[in-house]
Amino acid sequence: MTTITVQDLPEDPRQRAPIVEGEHDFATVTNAIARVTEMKTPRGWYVLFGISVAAFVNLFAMIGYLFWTGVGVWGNTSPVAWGWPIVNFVFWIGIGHAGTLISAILFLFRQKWRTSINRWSEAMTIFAVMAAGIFPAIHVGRVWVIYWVFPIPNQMSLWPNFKSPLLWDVFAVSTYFTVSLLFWYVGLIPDLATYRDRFARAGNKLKARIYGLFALGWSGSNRHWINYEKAYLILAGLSTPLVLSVHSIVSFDFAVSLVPGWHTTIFPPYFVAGAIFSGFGMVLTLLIPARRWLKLHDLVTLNTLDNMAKIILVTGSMVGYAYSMEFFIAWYSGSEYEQYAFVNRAFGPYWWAYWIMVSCNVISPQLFWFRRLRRSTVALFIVSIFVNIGMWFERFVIVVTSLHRDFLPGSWDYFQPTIVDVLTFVGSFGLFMTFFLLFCRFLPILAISEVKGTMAAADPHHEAKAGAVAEEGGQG
Amino acid sequence: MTKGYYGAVAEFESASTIFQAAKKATEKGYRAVDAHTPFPVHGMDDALKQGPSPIGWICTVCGLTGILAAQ
Repeated sequence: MTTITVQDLPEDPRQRAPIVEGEHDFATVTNAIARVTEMKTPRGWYVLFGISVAAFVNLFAMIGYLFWTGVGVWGNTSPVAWGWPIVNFVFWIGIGHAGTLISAILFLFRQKWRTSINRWSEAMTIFAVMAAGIFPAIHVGRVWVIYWVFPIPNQMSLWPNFKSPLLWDVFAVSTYFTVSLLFWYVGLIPDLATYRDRFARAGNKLKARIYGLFALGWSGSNRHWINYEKAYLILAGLSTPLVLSVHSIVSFDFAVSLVPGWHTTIFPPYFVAGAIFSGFGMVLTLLIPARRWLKLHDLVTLNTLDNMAKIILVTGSMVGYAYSMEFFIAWYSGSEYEQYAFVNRAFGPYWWAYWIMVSCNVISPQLFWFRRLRRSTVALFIVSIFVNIGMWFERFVIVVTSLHRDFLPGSWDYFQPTIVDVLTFVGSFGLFMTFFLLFCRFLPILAISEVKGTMAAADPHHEAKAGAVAEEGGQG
Repeated sequence: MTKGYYGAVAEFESASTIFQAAKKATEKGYRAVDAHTPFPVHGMDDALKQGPSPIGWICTVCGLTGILAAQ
């Protein structure tokens, strides 16, 4: 079997960098990934898991308190009726978009470097959508009639308003969750079978049975692969429009209203770019420490991180363009309400939030014009944290600054969150991290079969080609 | 083939050898052959002469049944 040793991206742009670096054959790739599940649980995992579970339990406590007392426990009040819960909802749903982009669009475009990060990102998508889904549900006030959002036939002939973007959201988000989960699971099947076989060989019958149950009898037969690849392609095709549609519909929650600062046509593309931007930020935040702790440098290469930094640069610049275009259109529209909303955004009482947003989202990614910074894990990690902060503030700015000074100056107010707002948000991180840590511990964190498929030795004509070259060399 | 034999199994070290073996087996006229690989080997479908899978049609029928039943 051939091994490749390339430490750096070849300077010749016509050459593709290998996905797997270092001295690896198929067996060592499987070992490097399966080791993460098979090793003794590291103490650090218990510490992180303990903190995450504590935050998760706190989420339940906060939700219980909210249900018992009412939405008054939050800072939401007239005129800012959409406070942190909707900010958090948009924040989390946006984070999920990187996973779908990586798994669907980059797959259709045959961007093979995605194979080293797609499994993580898809897992992150699912957990982020779970964290997101909680917020609108608990925000409705009378949570015991939350099922009214679904068009379920009932004796009161009560029907949701199909003209409301809030209803479109219910469909968009639930479709998104279902398709993402299916995509993730289908991708997992061959790797679950690998785990089943490894545990069976190690004599761990219980684990072999559990993994085997979910592996659906996978045997790696060519017949299986034909159907698997077709299913994967169809799911990629189904997910591709979802990358664009879900956050477009989330943006309609704002854009379809008549509130100055929300009622703009740029919202759908601007939200989608921001979602992908924030998602890549979160992938990097989780990936960089995990890559180091789990020693996955050969499989998640600097070239992959470099590519992700480029996507952050592109989407960050798109977001920056959208921010400036919003100002231009506000001025160009001639609407004084629109103009006031934007001047108030940048220089009003929430000027600090606006400028945190601009410096994190527009200025910090510009560092990635430099190759050295795109390939520095420290720089990548710091910027990814800035991206996370900036994108949360973007949603805060959109929601709060547009609402806090509405058409009647008599009702203007300064929105302030309560401790319950803060703890509920911390709790959503607890939910996300609890599931993510369980995923890292028990499931193959990299797509084993896909990574192997990108290696040169996986090409059936690989050795024949190598032989032909050697023969030519001999003749010359 | 000697009476009493029902099949044969062989293990291969690389993607190219299993691919060549699959090709040779089907060239000899064997049809009930399959290859088990840890990743999809491209060109294997042709090498094994496996026709299209009926799963697509089964799914279409199931999907149409679902749509009609929902009306």
